[in-house]
Amino acid sequence: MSQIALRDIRICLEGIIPSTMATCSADGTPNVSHVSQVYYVDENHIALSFQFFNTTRRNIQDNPQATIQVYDPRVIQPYLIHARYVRSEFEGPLFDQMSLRLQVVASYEGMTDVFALRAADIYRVTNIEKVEGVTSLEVPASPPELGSFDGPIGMDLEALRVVTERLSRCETLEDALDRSLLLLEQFFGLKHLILMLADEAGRVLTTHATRGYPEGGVGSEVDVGKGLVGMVAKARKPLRLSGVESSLRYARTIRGEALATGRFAVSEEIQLPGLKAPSDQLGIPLIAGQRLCGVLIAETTSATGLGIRDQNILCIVGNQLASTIARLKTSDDDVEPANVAESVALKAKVPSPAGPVRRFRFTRRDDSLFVDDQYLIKNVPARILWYLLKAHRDQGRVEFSNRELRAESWFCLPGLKDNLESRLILLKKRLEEKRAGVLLKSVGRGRIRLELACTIEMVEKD
Amino acid sequence: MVTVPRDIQDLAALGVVVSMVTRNERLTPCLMDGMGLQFSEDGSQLAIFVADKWYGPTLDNARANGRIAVTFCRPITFQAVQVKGLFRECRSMTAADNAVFAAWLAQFKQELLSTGHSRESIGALKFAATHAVVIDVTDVFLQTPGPRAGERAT
Repeated sequence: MSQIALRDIRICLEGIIPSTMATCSADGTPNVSHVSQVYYVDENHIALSFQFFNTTRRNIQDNPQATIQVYDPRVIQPYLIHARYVRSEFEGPLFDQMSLRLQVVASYEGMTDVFALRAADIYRVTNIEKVEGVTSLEVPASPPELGSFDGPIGMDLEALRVVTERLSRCETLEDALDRSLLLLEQFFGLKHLILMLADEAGRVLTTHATRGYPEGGVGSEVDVGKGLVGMVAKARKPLRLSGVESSLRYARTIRGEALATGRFAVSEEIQLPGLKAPSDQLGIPLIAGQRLCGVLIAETTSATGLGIRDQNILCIVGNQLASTIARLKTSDDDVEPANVAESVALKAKVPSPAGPVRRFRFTRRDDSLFVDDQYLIKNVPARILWYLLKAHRDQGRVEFSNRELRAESWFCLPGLKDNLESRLILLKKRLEEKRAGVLLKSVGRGRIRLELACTIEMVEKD
Repeated sequence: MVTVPRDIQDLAALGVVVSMVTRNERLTPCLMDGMGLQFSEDGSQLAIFVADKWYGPTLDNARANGRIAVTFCRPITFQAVQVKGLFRECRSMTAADNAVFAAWLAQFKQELLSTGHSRESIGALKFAATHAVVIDVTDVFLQTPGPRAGERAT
């Protein structure tokens, strides 16, 4: 019988089916408990999270022998991992990764105070046994892992070359954002993707592009530090959350227990972004230099989930995307009109078209804009649209330059790295998604055009 | 004698995941799956249904030193309990045992379905209990994740 290697059963360590752990005290009393996740450390080691002082924890200090039963979630095939506790890590990359995962789950359930990782307990694997006779299904081969050198990585490398090449050649931010998601789907089969960009202060992330969702969701916001997206942004580290449904159910049980006993303070649950019931989520921080540009998220409902290969691919594409975003944001779009014709176009007056009347209402108190009483957008993008609509109403103008918008003090744009381009993209997409009867089109570098398909009625309130 | 609370006996009657552990003379833990369980009327004994093909050294250990720990956990809610006890006997399944096992298997498959497992993988499970391991209950601990995990339930 061939010996089973830890890498052969790595899919069992994804936390989709909770594992069972057996230990024994120094006086010979056996103990068995459930563990939410077993972490793969390397070919010979696994790690378990130490959150609470309990019998298991006491036992392994006195008697380091442990047996952990894990399952291949695809066919419910159990394996027994025989291991010895060797040490605990209280800091470092492994600790950070395990802690981050724990904090994300905790954050979804409003329990960041309850879920604290005390240590990553490392175990050396001494033997792995397959429990025979449980299922009549064959265990499928594990998917190849990019970077492990024992899978067919040639095709992935070729695809990565093409994708990064195309991203590096994008000339507008809007193109880079949309194209990145398209390429990830076309070349790597990632079907549910969200791209969020960070504001200047690095406090809020806003959805700028999505792929694979019936409702686009552009404009939705997440605070840094909350949920998967917010925690990935805060930690600036990638995170793959497998067994999301199971992890959240586990966390909800703890939340229920905590509420029932009143022993811990818990806050509100927060909603998952994107899919309602994903099996796996993957978040990658987009970092250029020292600056956080945003977060790229992939999700799936597939039983096979998102693996190490997907994480590596998303990291590589994400690094290229971050560089592209940084380049396009800092490129000088503040250009003078190239010729007399362009200069005239900026001042040209175009009459409003005849068409259905759409009522745009701007509320100064919270900078929010509604169309026919439906929420459209808020903050700086709302002010920009209001400015454009007023300029059209009062002067008949339809073309505007970025330079003009940057000079407008009402927008309160910061002097440097003002994110004007990303705000315009957000505004364009919201107008399209909400079918507001108004569109914004790029008409050359640093210039936009207002296209109206309706008669605008404008109402301004305090 | 330990009296097991009614709510814990009720939990044991559902489609719970059952694991049983013993240890050898070198204090090495030995783990095997159970397939349903049943408390005696007075709650002082627990029968765990097992398959002889999965014994390994688990039962030999139990016969040698008597120490057994059993955990059962409901997959949907993670409600879990650990029972500690001393080995009393391992007997063939009775008609009454088989009825409990059949009810457990039906509920267990439903729990797996509710937690996202495919019908194909559930249908392929080759579960068939051959024996009942009976223990005298000495301790019962709450194991549902949360602040009460590890507390005595009796």
